[in-house]
Amino acid sequence: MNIFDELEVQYHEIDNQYSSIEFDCIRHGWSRKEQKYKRKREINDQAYFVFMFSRLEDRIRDESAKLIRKKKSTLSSWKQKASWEILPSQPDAELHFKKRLALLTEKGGRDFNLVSDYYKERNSIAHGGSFINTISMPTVILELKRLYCVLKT
Amino acid sequence: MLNHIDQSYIKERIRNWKVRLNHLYLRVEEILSVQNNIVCKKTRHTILYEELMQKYKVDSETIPILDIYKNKVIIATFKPVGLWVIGANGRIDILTESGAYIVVDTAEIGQKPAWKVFTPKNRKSGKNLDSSLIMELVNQA
Repeated sequence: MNIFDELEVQYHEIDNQYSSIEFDCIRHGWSRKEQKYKRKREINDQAYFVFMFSRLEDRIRDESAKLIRKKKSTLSSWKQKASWEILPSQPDAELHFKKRLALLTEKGGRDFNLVSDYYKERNSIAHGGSFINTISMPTVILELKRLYCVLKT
Repeated sequence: MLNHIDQSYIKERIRNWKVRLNHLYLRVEEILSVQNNIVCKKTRHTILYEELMQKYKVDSETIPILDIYKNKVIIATFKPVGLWVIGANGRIDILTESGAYIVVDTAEIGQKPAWKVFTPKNRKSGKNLDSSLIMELVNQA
């Protein structure tokens, strides 16, 4: 079981329960309760999205720090080493998340753009907003699992 | 399809979304027309008013919802959730008693739709939204 599996099962369980109640409200014409459960699903999406994205975020911080340490210790040419020496070796050190990401995947490439889009959504939610764009959690979870495997040193 | 984002691009995307939804609904109605006890209705609507529409001052749009009735009881509802979806070109939820089927168009913008469905029982991989899935939807209710 990987680090997303447990959360994935729990997320889908809750979403299916809420959507089933939302459907029951439509069946009975209870529009206020329908809206309430539609909103509950949105908040559940937001919570699990941030929760799961934070795991990818940690992975990117760890792997980028690992790469920086590796370059610092293995490069012998001072010219090549100099550019890595100015970067911090610790995952929690101050270095913008997208700069860390660009060390692991091509800037402007599909994966870079996808993680950047997720990061924008994460920031919007984390600062009290909601999703900027619509998401599909099953799609997001598949992508997070894939990105977790490919974004490495 | 235009690539530059402006008001006319947004309006074109909305027009295209409505066309794709209409085609999908017609297809579902066609598949279910063989069953006498099934009736499809498009009497309810949802409002489309997403971030980009607000940013480019495009008015909100009413988008039809497709309700499916079996023996006069509603058994499923196709509810469009959003057009601008990260990694997809639109999302619809099919709400049922057993949970939500999450449907996304995985085709590139401007291409023929490629609807993928994540069912309540299997959200781990998407299936094609084909006639067998539609029949399964009404037969299990």
